[in-house]
Amino acid sequence: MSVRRALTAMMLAPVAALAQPAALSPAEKTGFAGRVESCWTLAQGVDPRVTLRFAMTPDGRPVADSFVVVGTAAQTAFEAARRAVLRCARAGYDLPKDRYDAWDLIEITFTADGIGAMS
Amino acid sequence: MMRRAAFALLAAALLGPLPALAQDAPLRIEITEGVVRPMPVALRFEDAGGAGELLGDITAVIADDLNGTGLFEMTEPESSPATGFDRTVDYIAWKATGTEALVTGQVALEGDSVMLRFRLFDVFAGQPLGDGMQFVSPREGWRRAAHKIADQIYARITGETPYFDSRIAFIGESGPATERVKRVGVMDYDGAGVKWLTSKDDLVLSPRFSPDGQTVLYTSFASGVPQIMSLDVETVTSTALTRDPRAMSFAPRFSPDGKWIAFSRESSGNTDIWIMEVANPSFAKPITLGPAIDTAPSWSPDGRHIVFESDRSGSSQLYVMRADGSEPTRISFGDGGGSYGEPAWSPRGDRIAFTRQTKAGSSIGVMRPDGSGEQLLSEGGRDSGPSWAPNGRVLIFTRLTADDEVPQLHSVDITGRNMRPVALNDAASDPAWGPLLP
Repeated sequence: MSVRRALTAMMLAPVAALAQPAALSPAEKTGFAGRVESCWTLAQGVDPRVTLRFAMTPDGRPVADSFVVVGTAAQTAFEAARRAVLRCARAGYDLPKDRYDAWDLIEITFTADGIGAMS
Repeated sequence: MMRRAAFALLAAALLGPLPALAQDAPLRIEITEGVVRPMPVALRFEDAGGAGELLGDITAVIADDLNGTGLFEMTEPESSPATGFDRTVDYIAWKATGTEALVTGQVALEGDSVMLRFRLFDVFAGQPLGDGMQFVSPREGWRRAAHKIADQIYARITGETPYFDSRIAFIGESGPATERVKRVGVMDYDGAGVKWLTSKDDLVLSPRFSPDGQTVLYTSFASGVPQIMSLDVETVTSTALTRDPRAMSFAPRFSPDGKWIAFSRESSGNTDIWIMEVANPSFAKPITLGPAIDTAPSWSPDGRHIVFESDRSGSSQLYVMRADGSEPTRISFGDGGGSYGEPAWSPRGDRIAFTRQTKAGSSIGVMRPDGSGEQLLSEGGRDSGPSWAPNGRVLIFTRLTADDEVPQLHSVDITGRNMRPVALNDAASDPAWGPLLP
């Protein structure tokens, strides 16, 4: 009996902790996206679509060697998107440090849908 | 991250996959807009022995090639980080300048040979973009070596096949409009190194490169009746491929494998498209029949289809048929009418360039091979005769200026951006872009 209660306690504690990290607000997401957007250089006529995932340090900087492509994409699209994330991170992104768990891993999908046909 | 990863693993072991998924879900963002602006690139070439003025000349050619695409801009940071070909790149210092790509290189002149080396770095990724390369060329071939380096930079950053080290055949024009002298010339893609291939005595038209770039076909009026000539670019010798004095032969175009030539042949008032074998030009046969004017054939890059111009519907329109002449299908219609002509199939196979004529003037444009996705790249002018760069991303064409009827060559990106004149001192028309040189 005592063993079962101890096990139950061990199982519940982490679940409660996992549910706690508050997500970023839409405004915070938009602010972050806008920063990256301003650094994403679109080469004319080149398919820029790519989804990339990378880790962040607690001070708001991307971990340079953590970038990976999710799915498939042109190598040049990956490099252009990675450059955008790294270039705008010179002073670190302005993300809420008390909610680091909500953005310690980021996945960005880059499309050119907002600027019309690119090819 | 290490702490978090270990914790996630423990949670997974205890609780199964659900909490682990919730824990590892990344922050997901979608970005739909970027900045269409040139990429800042810094060139840092150094004299590795005897380069002298060549150092500046070569750097200028590379810079012009890259600037000319509209995709790059050369930067000259006020406080340029100390950089050398054999030194480790100070990425942090270069990042602070906003430069995104750094090219380091060396130029040396040894006897009659020029040696060029370069390395390309992605400044913000903090790593090289590909391996360093070295080119050695005869001194007089330094421009080609510079184009080769620019080609490498362009290809590695954009992922596109390059086009700087290529040539363009064209018709050079001089004299008054009533007594215009026309001759076939070839030049580097950027207008340098013009070489004239025919004399001023013969009226010539429509030069077209062979796939290997060693031969130029053109139409000559020397015999009084237009005939198709084959010209060896190296030896500058011409051979007549058609000789029938009762028929006009013109508008030739090589097949992608270089073994066939499609051309127009007019006889007894009727123009059809014919093909002839390069190895046996006396063997020629028509692949279109009928009273309509069928002309301006251009092969698809796989050699299976030909796009051409025909007035069989009452106005000049574009049609695609199989290479044996079967299954002709009209692909141009156009909102508001207008006629279409001078089709050129992209070497990538995905687009057909054309000239569209309306009451407002003539424009060049592109459409998919099925006729969809029509897009005009110029408007309201007097533009004609588009020809594709070997990578299918850029077009060169003839623009007739409004005031003095002097034709000039212009180039434009397939998206319609980066319209610019080709730096050429002579009036020129009817350009044909050759292949990328080996």
